[in-house]
Amino acid sequence: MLLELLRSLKEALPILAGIAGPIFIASFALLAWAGVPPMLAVTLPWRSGLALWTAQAVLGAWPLWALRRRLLPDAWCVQLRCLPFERHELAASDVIVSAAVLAPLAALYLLSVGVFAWQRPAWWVQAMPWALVSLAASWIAACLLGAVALAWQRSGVVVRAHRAVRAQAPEALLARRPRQFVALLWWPGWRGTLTPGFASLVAGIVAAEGLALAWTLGPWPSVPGAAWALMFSVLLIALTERLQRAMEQHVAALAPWLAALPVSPGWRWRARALVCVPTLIAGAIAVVLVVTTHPWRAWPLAAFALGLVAMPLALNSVPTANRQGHVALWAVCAGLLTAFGSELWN
Amino acid sequence: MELTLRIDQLVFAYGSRWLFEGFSAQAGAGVTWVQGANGSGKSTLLRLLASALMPRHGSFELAGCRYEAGDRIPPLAWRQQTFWCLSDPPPTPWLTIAECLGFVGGTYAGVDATRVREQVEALGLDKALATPLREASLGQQRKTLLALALALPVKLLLLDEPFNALDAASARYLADTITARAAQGEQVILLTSHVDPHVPVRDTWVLD
Repeated sequence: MLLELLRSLKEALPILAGIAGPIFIASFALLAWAGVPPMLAVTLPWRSGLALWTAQAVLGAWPLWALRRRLLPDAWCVQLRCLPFERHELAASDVIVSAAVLAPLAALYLLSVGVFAWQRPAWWVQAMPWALVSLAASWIAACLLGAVALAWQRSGVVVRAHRAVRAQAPEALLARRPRQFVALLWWPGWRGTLTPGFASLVAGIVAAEGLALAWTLGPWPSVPGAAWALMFSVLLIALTERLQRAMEQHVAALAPWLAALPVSPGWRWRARALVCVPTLIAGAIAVVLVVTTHPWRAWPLAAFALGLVAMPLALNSVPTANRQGHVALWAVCAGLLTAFGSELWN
Repeated sequence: MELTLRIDQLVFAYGSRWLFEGFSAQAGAGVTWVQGANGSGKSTLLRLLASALMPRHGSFELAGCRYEAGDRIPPLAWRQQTFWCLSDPPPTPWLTIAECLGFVGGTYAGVDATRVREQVEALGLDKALATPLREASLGQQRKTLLALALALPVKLLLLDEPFNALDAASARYLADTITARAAQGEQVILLTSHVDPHVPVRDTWVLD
């Protein structure tokens, strides 16, 4: 999977450099902020410092949680139980995989430290060397939390599988016959077959709304509006793409069987439409937040709202196997949404 | 008029590996045993007839319904009269056995719930109806599809290795039911099997 990630990056770099180079160069300074929370935590009162430090560690471990079923597919988990591995060997492998996945985060932290060492702001100089210890401890905690997520995945396969057993009334179901949308699209998401499932999608929407709230209410004036717009856009793009990838695999697995059944091919379009729904919901809530919290400008808001509708449609029109096309869409969509978003109140 | 399945000039290849180059055949009501070594195209032929794969050229005809290679979506009438009992488990592991029966059965016109129930009981699935397919044994997964195959009012039944993973009693029941269906003369049954299916075979196709 890491090799796949590297291959994606290799294919993506020319596009990123060509299309979105100026945007990324402009936002390069944002990378330095990645390591700020754990370093800043040591300068705060212990309660708020601990909360900030913990939040960053949990956020750092999130990729492991999100990717746990790709890193350890259910079938592997069952196989692993049959193989003669000691418990500590499995735990060590979880930590190593977690560290490997979070290696880019470590690189980002190093970059952050490098930028601060070069700029040497007063608060940072005073916080040294505990700031560095806190940063390193945050990364290690993220790795350990990631390892816990992997261990949960290894031991949780049967627990999840049992969820669907409850609440079934066989005779009633035979007579009632589940509808196509429910049987093919709703239940796979609800019962954890589709990854990301509905729980992850709701978490993604809530996180996006958290960013939208921070953006519109402005509790941290030092973070520019464009940065919030960029984070909000990128989160929604990532959510859409992840769901699109999952739905493509889901559709590919079902297509031959359903082609043989007397069902309408409309379920494919419904599957595609479903990919757009989380972004549209999150986007609509964000637009409502913008409208209700500040005097807004009509044209940038209309363009921003239109961009939020167009983004999932554009991503959906290009298969995820076309990596270069998707990277280009990522860059263009993130750039446009950030540009429109930063002009909402100017 | 006797029920006849006609396959005319079928052409199909996986990439550059040709499996059928102008294959033509006819099968009347009753059991046609499709034989051949691994990789000879037995399952592929059933998939093509089920419209799970698109032929490059050729046509199929049964009971006045024609399905040609050029059709982007196979005619609904063709799919209404065909059921493909694939050799793999159903690709809906999130559904319970009851839900799978209900969903697939519900897509066919004129399905009789009582007949589904009869097959479920005869195959010993009645106590496992609430089991999700992903937790069901391979035999139970196969029986789910076989219960549908035996209950649905279709004219063309495509059974891909139907005896695999079945217990002895269920295999015997399946063979008896297929024998009875063949005698009624209302279905064309194409069956692939590496072992003697122990049913009266009207015709045998050997693929190489």
